[in-house]
Amino acid sequence: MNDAILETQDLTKRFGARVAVDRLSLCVERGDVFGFLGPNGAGKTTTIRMVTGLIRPNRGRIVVGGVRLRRHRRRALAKVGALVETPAFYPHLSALNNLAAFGSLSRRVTRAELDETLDLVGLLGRGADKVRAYSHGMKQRLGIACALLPRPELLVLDEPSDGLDPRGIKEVRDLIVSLARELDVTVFISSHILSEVEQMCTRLAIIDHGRLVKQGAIAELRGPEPVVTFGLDRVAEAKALLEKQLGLSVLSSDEAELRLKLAHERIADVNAALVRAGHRVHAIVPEQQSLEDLFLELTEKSIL
Amino acid sequence: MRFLRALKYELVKNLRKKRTFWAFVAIAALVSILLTAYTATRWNPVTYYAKGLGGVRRALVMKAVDECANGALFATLFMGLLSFALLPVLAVAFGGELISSEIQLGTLRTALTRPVTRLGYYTTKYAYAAIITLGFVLFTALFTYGLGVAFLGRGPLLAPAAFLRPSFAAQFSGVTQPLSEQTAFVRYLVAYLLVALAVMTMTTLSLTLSTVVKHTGAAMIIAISLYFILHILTMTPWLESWRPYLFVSKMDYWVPVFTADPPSGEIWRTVAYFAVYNAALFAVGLAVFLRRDIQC
Repeated sequence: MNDAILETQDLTKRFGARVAVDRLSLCVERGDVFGFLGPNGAGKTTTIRMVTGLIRPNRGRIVVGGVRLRRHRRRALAKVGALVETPAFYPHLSALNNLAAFGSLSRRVTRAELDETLDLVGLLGRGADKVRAYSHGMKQRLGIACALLPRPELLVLDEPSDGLDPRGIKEVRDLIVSLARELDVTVFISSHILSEVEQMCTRLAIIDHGRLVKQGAIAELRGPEPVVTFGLDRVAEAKALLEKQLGLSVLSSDEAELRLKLAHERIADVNAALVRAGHRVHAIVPEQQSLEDLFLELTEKSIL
Repeated sequence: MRFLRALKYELVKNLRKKRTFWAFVAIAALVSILLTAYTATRWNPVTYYAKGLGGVRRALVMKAVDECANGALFATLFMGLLSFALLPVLAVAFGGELISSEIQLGTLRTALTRPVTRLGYYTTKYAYAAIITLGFVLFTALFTYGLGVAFLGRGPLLAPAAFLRPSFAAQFSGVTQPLSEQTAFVRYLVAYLLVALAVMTMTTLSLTLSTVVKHTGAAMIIAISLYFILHILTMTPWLESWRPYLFVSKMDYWVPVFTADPPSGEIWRTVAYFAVYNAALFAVGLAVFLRRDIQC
């Protein structure tokens, strides 16, 4: 049984001649903390705006919890809480009044619910303060509270750590992880901070130039093979040897080392080949491929 | 219920803006200045118009205004000025920011990710625009009348329709039927309700413009410019044939309410005219809003 909370099929958006999102098909399953990655201008925010009903796709469809967004906008969006780009509020109103104003658009919201939601994001004591007095981090928290108020099944967060200091980033990250766990809400989060996504997400999709490059569980995407760093001399020659004679693909190299994906059982063979060719290998370091490596590998391939 | 709830918060969030308070203060201040000018110098728009009249008629107008001065006359004499210059400007200032300020703040983005239809959201904005317009008009009406009565006393109203429209003033013969105080007050309120409908057209125009432009100021400037440009066009002789289609030419359609026998047929036709204008402008604004990609 398909347990997707969000599906997009062939989603396409053009702005004039420019194709911002190109036949994008995503599947976010219930319970995921789903990372949505891509370089700047890749189409992340455009996709999120389509998913939240702010802009209309030229083609394709969006299904939220089994409900088609275009046909049943209200029913579909009732399942979604969203924070798109920077949080925006009425500066002359208190946090409580802001939450009530936005909350009232969907349903009747009680004071107890408002307090509870503010408590979730650690702003309970500051509810009566006007938003103009809030720091950027507090606004971000309030934005998340606002997205949580309709008690959504899917929480869509667009760059929630944008503009925050390292402490703020950690606070927001911890908040998202705890919300996903405690409220049993599926989180769809776009970010270009890879370490953040790596620490939070269970599955992810990478897009570039509006196209899906890859999606799946992080462990699956990384693959079983570790990235092995060889510290050695004459790196250029070694690279040629590995690529031409052994048919391996070198991920990156510099003056003193090269990196490639390699199964554990082949490390010794490669080392022997290098030594036979006269290279002095002084270090072999196998490590799990980082998300950064994966991202760079996939987006560079997509450019090529 | 959903609509009323949304409307309630629309009112809460807008009425808590300082500019709303200052708008009411501005109305009160302007009316107070006009009262001061009137009591000190007997200056008013009618005697100003009367300068253009012939000697006898002019003298009659001045005498009538002088002898029948009371709160009702003061309020009625200045109705034209307030409904032509002040209320449309306020309507534009408040209607023009309804959507564009949400775009500028980014709150439109937050609002439209909620399970709300764009039709519902736009209708809520329109309802708020109607309420605030009616609020400004009724406050102006009651404050002007109240202040006039407080300083100039009560009494019957010398039917001043002949004064208020230059074409009527030209026919002024000095024979006017005074309206009793009670009748005058009812007619005065009816006239201001008609003003509200005319001013609402300006509000709807600026609301429509605010769906098109991103900046609050731009919507207001375009709307107010259009208002005055259209006025100028209605005064241009070679555009005489356009007049019936330009709503600004009918902004003073409330004037005959003060005649002894108001032409109800003509008034109702103009009410329908403004209703159609409002509906058309609303439909255009809604069509733009429904199709618009929210990129803010």
